[in-house]
Amino acid sequence: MPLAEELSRPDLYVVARFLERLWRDERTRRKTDLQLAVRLNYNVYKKYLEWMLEKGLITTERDDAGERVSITPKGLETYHTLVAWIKDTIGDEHL
Amino acid sequence: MPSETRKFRFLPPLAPLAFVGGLLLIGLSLLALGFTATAPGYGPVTHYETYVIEDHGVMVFAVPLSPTVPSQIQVEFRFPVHAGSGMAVDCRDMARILDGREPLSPEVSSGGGRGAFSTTGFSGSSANCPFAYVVMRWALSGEPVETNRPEVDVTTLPIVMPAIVGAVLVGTLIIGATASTLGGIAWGRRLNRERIAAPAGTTESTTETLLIVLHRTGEWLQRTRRYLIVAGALGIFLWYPVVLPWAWTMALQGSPARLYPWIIAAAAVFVLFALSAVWTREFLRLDRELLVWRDRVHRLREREAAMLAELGSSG
Repeated sequence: MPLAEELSRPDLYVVARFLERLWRDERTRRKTDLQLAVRLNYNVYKKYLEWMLEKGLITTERDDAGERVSITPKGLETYHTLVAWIKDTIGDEHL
Repeated sequence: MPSETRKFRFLPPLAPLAFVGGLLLIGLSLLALGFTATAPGYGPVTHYETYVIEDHGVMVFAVPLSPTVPSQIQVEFRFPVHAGSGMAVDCRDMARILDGREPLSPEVSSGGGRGAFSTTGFSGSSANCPFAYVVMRWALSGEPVETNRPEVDVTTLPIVMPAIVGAVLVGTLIIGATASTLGGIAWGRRLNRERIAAPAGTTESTTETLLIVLHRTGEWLQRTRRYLIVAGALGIFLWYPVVLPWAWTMALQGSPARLYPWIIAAAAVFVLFALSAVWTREFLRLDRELLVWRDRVHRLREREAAMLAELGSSG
């Protein structure tokens, strides 16, 4: 059973937190570092990681030190779309 | 921080207090002014009874007395044919007069063909004697009682309003209006400043900051709407059933010679209508903003659902 099925309805803003950390740092991050950066417990973190990998929002690569995570173009587009929607909702008068 | 700003830091927290306190002061001042003008019987007294008592015509005006506000009774009279007398008496002396006896202690009396008198001696009514009586008497020399019945103007006025008291109440009205206006403006500005909802110690996350702003803006709109409703209900609309009847009564008490009841009544009604108009405009504007906000949030949720559906079907 794909692990992603355990995450039936992910919180898009947790996803955005992942994507933002990867986008801001402009580099790949080790899985452990990323977990600390997004501040999730391990089980939840793992579910989101698997889901995002499955949806093509992030990608992983292995090196001598372990596995590293980076954002994909699709992930970048998803992140910027979410941010734009929130800004649109808040409106210029409240920003 | 500049010392000027430090000096006035205590002002913004006082804004709601000033607003509510100012409105209360306005209301209490109006009540105090109305208290003196709404006691029964003030103004002209036109109803009278005529009697014939031991060869004298007697014309009696019953002047109602306020239990709380001392009254001044002013009388002007003119006997058409021959002289008579006038006096102001209490219930006990009125009973004596109707029995054909002389009063023991009239407050004031006057005689002649034409004259005037006034009294402030009736300080308040009691359960046994809620009236003072203006009594006009003239001798009947065989003629009908109507022949020499005098023309009488009886007016009763409250005397608790010397100029200094009136000036103080008008002063408190002005102070209350100023405090509520300035307090309301400062309160509104303070609420508006709270719109800048970027939290202290914000994380580096743009998304989180935006989400916080999103939630706080919605909370701010709803909270401000609640405040506005309470402020409007307590500070403005609750006063309509008090101020309008009061203003009407004050206007009725007015006359060309006594303009201040008209002026105060008109000013009070104007202030109430002006506050109502301002409140209504602000409430409608905020309501529109809240509706737009809710529409936007609804649209965001729809977009989120669409994105999740799209991501769910991909991969």
